[in-house]
Amino acid sequence: MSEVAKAALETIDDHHAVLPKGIMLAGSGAHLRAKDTPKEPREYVFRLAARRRIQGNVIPGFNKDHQQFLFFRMGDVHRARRWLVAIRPSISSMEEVLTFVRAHRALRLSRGEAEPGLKATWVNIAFSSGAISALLGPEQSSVFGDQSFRQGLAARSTYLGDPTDKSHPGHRANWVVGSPGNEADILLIVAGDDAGDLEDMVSSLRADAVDHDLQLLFEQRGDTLPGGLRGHEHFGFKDGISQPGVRGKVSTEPGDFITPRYLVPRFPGDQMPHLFARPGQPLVWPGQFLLGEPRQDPESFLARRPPATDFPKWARLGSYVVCRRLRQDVPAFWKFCAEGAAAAGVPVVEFASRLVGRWPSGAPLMRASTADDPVLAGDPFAANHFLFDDRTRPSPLRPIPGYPGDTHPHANADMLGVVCPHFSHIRKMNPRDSVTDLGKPADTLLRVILRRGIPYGPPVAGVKNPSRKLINRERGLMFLCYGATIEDQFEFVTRRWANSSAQPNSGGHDPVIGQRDDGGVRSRWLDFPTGSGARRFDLLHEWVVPTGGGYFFAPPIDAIDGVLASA
Amino acid sequence: MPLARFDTPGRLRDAPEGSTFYDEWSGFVRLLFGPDNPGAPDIDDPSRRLGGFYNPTTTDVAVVVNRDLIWIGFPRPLFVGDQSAFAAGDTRDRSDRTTGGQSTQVEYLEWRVVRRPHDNKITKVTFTTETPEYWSELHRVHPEVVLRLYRELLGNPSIEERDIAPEGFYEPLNDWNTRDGIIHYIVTSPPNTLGQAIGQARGSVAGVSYRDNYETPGGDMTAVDPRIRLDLKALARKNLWVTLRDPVGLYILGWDDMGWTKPDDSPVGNYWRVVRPASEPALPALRVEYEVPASEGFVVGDISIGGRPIEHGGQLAEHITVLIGGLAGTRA
Repeated sequence: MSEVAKAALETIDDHHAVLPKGIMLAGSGAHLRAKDTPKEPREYVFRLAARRRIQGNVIPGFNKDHQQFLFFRMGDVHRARRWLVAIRPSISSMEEVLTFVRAHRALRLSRGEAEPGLKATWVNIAFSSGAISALLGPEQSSVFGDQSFRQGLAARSTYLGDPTDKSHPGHRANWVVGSPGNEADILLIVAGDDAGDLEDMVSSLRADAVDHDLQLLFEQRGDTLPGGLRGHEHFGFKDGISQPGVRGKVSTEPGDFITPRYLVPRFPGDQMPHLFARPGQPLVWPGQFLLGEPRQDPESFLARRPPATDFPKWARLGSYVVCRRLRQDVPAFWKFCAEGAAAAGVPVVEFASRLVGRWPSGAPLMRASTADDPVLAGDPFAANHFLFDDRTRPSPLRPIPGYPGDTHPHANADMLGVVCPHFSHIRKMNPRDSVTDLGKPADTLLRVILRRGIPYGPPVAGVKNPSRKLINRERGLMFLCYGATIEDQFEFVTRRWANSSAQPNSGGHDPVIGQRDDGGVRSRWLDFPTGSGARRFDLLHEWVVPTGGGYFFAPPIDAIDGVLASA
Repeated sequence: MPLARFDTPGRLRDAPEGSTFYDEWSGFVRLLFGPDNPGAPDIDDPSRRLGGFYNPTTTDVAVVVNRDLIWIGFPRPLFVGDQSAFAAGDTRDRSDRTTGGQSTQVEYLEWRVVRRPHDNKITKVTFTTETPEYWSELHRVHPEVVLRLYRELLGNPSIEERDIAPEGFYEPLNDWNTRDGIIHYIVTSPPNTLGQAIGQARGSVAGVSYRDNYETPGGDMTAVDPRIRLDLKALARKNLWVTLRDPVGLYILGWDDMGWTKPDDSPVGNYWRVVRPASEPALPALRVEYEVPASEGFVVGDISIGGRPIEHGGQLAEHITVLIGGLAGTRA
């Protein structure tokens, strides 16, 4: 690795967001006062019974610093069923996680502390199609309408651009878990604030599973990166900033939304407060993530369409899960960036940031086009507030104690991708207001997913003079997402957008997660904007390699013992 | 300098060199473009007009944007349709060229499937983005060329002039372009025609203006119509004058056969063949065939896409992108 790349990598943790002081943000499910909210649209109410059925990592998400993923294969089905009955009380619900989040917030408000010390350890569970077939019979698994789920990740691997050459480390035959013949039946996700508590819980769960003839195929620990890289992925960039806001309410009380709403109308009849929870966070009907709930209308940002019905009745309020273990070659990424930056005549961190679409701190290029802006990155109402195709207008917010308002420069139109290139990761994965190969921007709301990933392995970014041994340690991302389909959400954005040079808009492949395989040739390209026009870069090496995973289904909690264990 | 003449789609040279057809075609397209269409009043300052649509053969614009308008070839109304209404593995393609205007292939990509009689497996799929206007105009000037091309493209020397022009003038819905073959678009509701595409582009700048795409109304369910309409309207919002790029036409931009596998699960070879234009560059194309060479020992219907056997032409169309070229610039 060149000295330029090494220097950039070693100092990348200087690019951490500067969090604002004194703002008390509402967490998920925060209760707003009625007078704070505009006239409400009719939205689904997640009543207590539903909140107790939905697994908590789907909504609102665990968001814990330490997580363990355990991949099991069932042995004797009768013993597996007994294990399911036993583990069911350990599964954390949406209600449990929401209650924790609200208590956490209440403590923050009363004590004025950012981290009031509440701790929890949670467990969620998901099943492969094969597991459902083994537990309930193939006629039950065949009722699931998502064909990709029924096929499994390994069968869809090359469709996602994974290597076709069996000697490639990313070929499915070489995966640590999920390769043909080594596919997990059950995925357990354990998450905790305290590493020790997590390990105790995992030990107990592991032993209990083995006692019930479950074979542990693989397990992976994930941890948020330490220090200034907290919330960042291994290349050094802040991750998980942009998530859809799930529509719906906790109760019928005014303002009691699952996703807190902050926008107020700019003028009479302004629809924006009904389209966005906070600036840049679009609201999406819950049926895009939970089976059997009202879904997004394909032609409208706001309207809903009736729930899907292509699943067994007991699966209502469940969600499909995609798990991908993605190995990251951090030195290779920064080596490419250093060489590219030299060729393009820009600083290396800027070059890397244009590949991502954000600066390492998380500040979007659309609002900080020439240099990182950690203060912008730390502003929760500004860091995700931008359009691509047109100038972004200010979004007035309801009064937020301690928040002075979004005073950062607003984003200008960048329809041609000169500032945030069309190939950049964030523009590929979320084209926002842009028209796509599927037409109107409302279609993009059909493609969004709930991301719940966490890094694994020791960081090398931000480490001064890393040893050869440290550099060579394996690291990456345990990518996890939830959606009401796998094919039309995760697979759609992966194959059609990240892996395409022309979709959703022409300019090159996603240089971060894009995968290509043309008869074993795995090169990608991008047209990097420079002052004198676009310059073509060929990406001959890979820095994200799939190394395992699976397609699963996270059932409603009562179905674990009531259906899956009772046949 | 304004454009001297509209060229034929794909710069086709079907007519003999020096034929009047080329000028006549240009004149035909010029009529479809019509006069410049002024832009809409700015929503925030109605005294000011935004960029309009221009006819490049009459109006000089300094082009600053070369915009590829790209969409998927499979019909979006079916793509986003309720999956629970369809059986597993059904690509929702029930189109059939014998039904003419009732076809579902509404994204300016039409295709025809050839199947093996004894087991109904697909042996060949032909895709086209050619317009009925081109063939009608060509027939008007050179009926003998049209007849020759029908025979060549469909591999059938027995096709006669009366088959394609039974009343003495060209019939776009003749049997060799519907029941028995595919030459150009036939979908009529909404029509896949060059005039419709140009009209969509021309009309994009008119009417109410918006500040951004979140303000635009829903409208068409297709992918192509919002792609043309909203993208050009967004460019016009930047005070740019917009038009379609010469040679004006609808094109197959490319395909993605990643994850397509042979019966032995190995990746497929390159079985695509660009038929029109025959000259380089092959892409973007107007007519493409997908057929496995006999030496491979299997047929298209034996190929799987992401582990799913090919049973419908629509499964291929999902992985084809269609293009119309846009331009935008400043007017003196």
